[in-house]
Amino acid sequence: MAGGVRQVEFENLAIPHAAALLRFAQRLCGDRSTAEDLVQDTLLRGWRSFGQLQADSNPRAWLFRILLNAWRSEGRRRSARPVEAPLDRAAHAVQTDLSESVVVSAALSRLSEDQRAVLLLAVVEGFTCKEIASMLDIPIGTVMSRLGRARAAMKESVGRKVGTK
Amino acid sequence: MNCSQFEDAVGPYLASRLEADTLAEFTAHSASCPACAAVLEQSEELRLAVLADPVDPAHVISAVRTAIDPPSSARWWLGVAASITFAVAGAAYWTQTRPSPDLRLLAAAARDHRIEVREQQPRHWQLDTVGVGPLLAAYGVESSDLERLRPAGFHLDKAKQCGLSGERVLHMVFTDGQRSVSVYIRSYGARQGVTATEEFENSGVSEFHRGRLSGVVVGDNRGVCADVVRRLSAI
Repeated sequence: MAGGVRQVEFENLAIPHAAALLRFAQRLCGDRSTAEDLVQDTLLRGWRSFGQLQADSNPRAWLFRILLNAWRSEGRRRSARPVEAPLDRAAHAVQTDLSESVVVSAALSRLSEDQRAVLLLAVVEGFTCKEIASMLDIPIGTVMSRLGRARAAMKESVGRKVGTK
Repeated sequence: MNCSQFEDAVGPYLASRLEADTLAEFTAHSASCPACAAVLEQSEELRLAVLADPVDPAHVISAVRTAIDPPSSARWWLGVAASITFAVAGAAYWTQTRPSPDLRLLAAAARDHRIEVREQQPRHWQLDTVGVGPLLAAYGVESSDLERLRPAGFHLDKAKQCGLSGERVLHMVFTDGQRSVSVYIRSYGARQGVTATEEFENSGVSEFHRGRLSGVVVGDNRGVCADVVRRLSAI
């Protein structure tokens, strides 16, 4: 019964964030299969370290931090394939007036992995720069500069402002 | 709020994570700074574009559940034995390999208590007699019931209707000023008795079905929960 209770408690805490983790992982890794492996690894790592989670911790931030650590520690960068929506597709999208989501996806794919991660964590997942700095174990100034460069790059790719001024 | 602070708050704003006072500052700044208003607009476009991509984590969740709790050989044999003995073998095996629905209810109640009572996230509580009275009446809770449920030194602080595991329940909060107890009253409940106190979210949680009342008790700790459980058991 004790194991069952612990599992239910973990599922209630972690499963609601599974879709967000997968969405983030897909943008980070560039393909669905690698993203699913990464999220599965993240949730299993979370399960193994669940007992160390403090009661006042933010479980969402905790899971994203685990995901980022898993991504770095297992060297998935080396095996990552290009993100969907290649560059020529972006150019084609602009010329043929395809949906904005395709244009934005292509622009995101052109960012460096570090910039893309910070931009997605801030704008899509709703974390503050301080929270992101804690997740990535980097200074908050580094987060802000990466965010600024990401926004500038998005502006250049999309041809107008996207989350910048 | 300056432009740098605004920029940092854009993500939390879009995710509806800003506190009320910060939200007011954010809105005021957006209205007075066209450049920051543009940041907000374009960030929202980016967010919507990313969220437009459908994701389905069902496969991942299933794989994780299997890895965490694989069906053991003992459970498998239990299922086989049940299939020979009972026509309800499938159901018996199912209950051996999946968490009990009652545990899910307790876990959901503990989570709700943490978010709405301990973390005090803003909700539409009924705080006075005029608002609370009709709510209690709708769930058949009488003043004598409140006396039975209320731990010594506690008083009824607030109440509201809410959803719990897909069911509409009455959520009452008793407090002594420092500790709190949530009591969730359900509209029905056939079995009689009080379950053992489980622990979720660092809270003590019990399910009860006594007389006309059926529901879940969540205490800030096991002791507070046990106090209510003792009172219910004495009914």
